Amino acid sequence: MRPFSFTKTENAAKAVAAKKELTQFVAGGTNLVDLMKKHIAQPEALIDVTGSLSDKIETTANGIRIGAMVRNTLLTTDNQILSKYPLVAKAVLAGASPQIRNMASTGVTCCNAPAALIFMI
Amino acid sequence: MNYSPANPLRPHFFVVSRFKQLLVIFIVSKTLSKDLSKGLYVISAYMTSSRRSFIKISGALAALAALPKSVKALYQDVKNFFVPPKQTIPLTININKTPYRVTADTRTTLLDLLREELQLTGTKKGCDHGQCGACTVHINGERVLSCLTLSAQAAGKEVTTIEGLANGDKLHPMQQAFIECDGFQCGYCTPGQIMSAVACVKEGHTKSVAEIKEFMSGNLCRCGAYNGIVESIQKVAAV
Repeated sequence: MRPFSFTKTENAAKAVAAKKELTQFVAGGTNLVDLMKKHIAQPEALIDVTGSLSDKIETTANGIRIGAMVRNTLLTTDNQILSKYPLVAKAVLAGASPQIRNMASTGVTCCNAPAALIFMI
Repeated sequence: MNYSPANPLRPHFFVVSRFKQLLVIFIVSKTLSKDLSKGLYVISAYMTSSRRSFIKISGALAALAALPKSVKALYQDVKNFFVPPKQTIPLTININKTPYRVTADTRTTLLDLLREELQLTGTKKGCDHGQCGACTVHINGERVLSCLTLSAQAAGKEVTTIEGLANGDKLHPMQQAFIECDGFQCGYCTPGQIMSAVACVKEGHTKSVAEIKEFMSGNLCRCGAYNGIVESIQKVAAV
């Protein structure tokens, strides 16, 4: 793994301001740390955003708002999700292992780059 | 210039062209790194040379003195380009209710911190890529994979490993159940299985064998002790 600096930020604005070239945000780490171990991702700096983003699920006028740092497990146990959108919980339960679901964030689950075969060639 | 061989201070060896003289001094002082021997050669060279070559030699030596510094800096630059220097970070992590203060490389995963730095080798390294579950530990009471957790991200949190389950000499009920139900053969996946099983019971996913298997799917066992593991979990869940 390439050496990197590690910082934490308190809010999203500070995290975005600290972002430079070769900087990566890290949330659960289930994807990025794996990619870094395989030398696919080689960031020079990591910014831990676990404390910067919302980890709450709220009901809004139009539906439901899921914070980017809501762990996958919470999506499968939250009553608002289970009563209104049970398919979301079912879909999450169909993927990964309980340990991974405890770590992975919803934000990254929606936009991750899993270690596909193409990286290994 | 008198190059008379009768002069003991001007031995025949040095009666050569100034270029060769300089070359010899250059090679010798480059080869011999010890200051003493370098100094001796320099003195002998001074003693056998004219004022002009004294200036030449002085200049050459001054250039030599300057050279290693720039070479070293260049070497460092090249080295840093190909091998970036590691960066460390001070951390405080509570592991099994004991606070640990360590200064770790930022790249250190929680698994490597436990095993390599803190000698808590109960947690096992299996695949190191989050697929086998051998490295499962609890962070703030939830089961996670320590191989994909950077130790910097675990700072300030409560970590429980297999070493922290037993109460003194009294085994945790799950550890006892694994022994009684033959929940392992070789035992390599067992610390991870037990940590996962404890969390599985705590989460309440023990209503059926199928549910237990689904919620223990993150832990692989190449010996195939799954039936014993399921039995152990049922035994603890029934209590």
